[in-house]
Amino acid sequence: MSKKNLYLTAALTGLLVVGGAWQGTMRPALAEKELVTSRDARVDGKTVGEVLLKGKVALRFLSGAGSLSTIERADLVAGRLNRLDEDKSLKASELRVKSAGGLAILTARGMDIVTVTAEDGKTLGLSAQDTADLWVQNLSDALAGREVSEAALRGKPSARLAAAREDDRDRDDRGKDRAGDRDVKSAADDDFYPDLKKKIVPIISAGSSLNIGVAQVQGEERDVDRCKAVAQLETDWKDKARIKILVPISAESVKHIDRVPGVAVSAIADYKIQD
Amino acid sequence: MHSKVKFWAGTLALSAALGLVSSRTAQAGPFDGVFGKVLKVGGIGFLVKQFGPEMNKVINTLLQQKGIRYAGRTKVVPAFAIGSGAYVGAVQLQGDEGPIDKAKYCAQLEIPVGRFRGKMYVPVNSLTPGKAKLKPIQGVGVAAVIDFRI
Repeated sequence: MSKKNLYLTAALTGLLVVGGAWQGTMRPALAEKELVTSRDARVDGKTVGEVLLKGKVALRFLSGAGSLSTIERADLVAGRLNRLDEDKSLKASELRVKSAGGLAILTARGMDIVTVTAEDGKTLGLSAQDTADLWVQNLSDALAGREVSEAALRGKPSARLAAAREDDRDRDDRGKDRAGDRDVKSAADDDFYPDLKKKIVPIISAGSSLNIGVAQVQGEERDVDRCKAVAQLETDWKDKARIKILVPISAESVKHIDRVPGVAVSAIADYKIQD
Repeated sequence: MHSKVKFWAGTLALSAALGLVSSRTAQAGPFDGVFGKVLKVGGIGFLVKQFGPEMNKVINTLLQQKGIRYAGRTKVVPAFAIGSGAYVGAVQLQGDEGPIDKAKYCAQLEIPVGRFRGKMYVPVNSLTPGKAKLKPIQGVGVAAVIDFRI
């Protein structure tokens, strides 16, 4: 080996050693900052994937899904929950269950977190829907700092969730069908809809006439706070057809329109200042 | 395959009839006017229901070109407006995934008072109060409207 190659090998080895040491010292510190972590574990002689919230086990995957192993599913869920938490602190009330094509999907802020398969339900002795409700409950408990019991991880719902389910069944029996509502219902939150903020902002309409007035916008608090005005582009054709486009914007200037996502217009009142 | 051809033929025939009746309504008698209006409401409602996803794509593409496309979930549903005349057409709704899936129609209430006008958009889950629990859908708003005077 030439001298040059020897120095190169030594430098690379040094870098690897320093890098390894840095990783070893830094990773726990970084991990501490993350809300959700994942790990593999052995339960009843089987390798399972576990999702930990604030260091406590909140979810346990006993079966894989498609090409994903149990630990890969746990990694995926942890990653998604962390991404959401980075944007804004994750709340239990944001966890939801939606139904799609016979599957139950656990979501938060519109993002799919994990699809609950029939196999997941089978391993816990529950239906996919009940498994999804149970997982939401477990995650909610962990987010609230409550311990998720081993029984809950093994498919036995907490007394609170069992009571909520019983209540649902009673209502169904009385003819107050809530099945249609189930896809947007949070097991952790009895409110049917997420907390919405409404706000009145100025609106300017241009096109067939020039109008100014006010508009009511609604959406999640942080999005509504960003919305400063609504721009409406409208036109009509011989009083027979009308086209309107409503754009909630974050700046009160029409020169640079920056649309605010997640904000919707629900009412308008304006005054025509020019035909 | 055969049923698909039948479906498209039916849709085209309905569109043609709709256009024909609509264009003649202004000159026609009261019976034709009523017939035309009924066909217009039913036809436009049907077309919007049938081609809502395609219309949604077109609207999003146009808005994308202007750089003002809504980033979240959108959906096109039939809309009915009353107040300053009666209109029927399509509305592009926007909102969270859960509530927007429930929204099936959008009612628009308009109150014109001279140069003032008030408008309210009410996305609803159904138009048949007896069949399903008719209720306004919270968390869903309007991004774009296209409608025609009845």
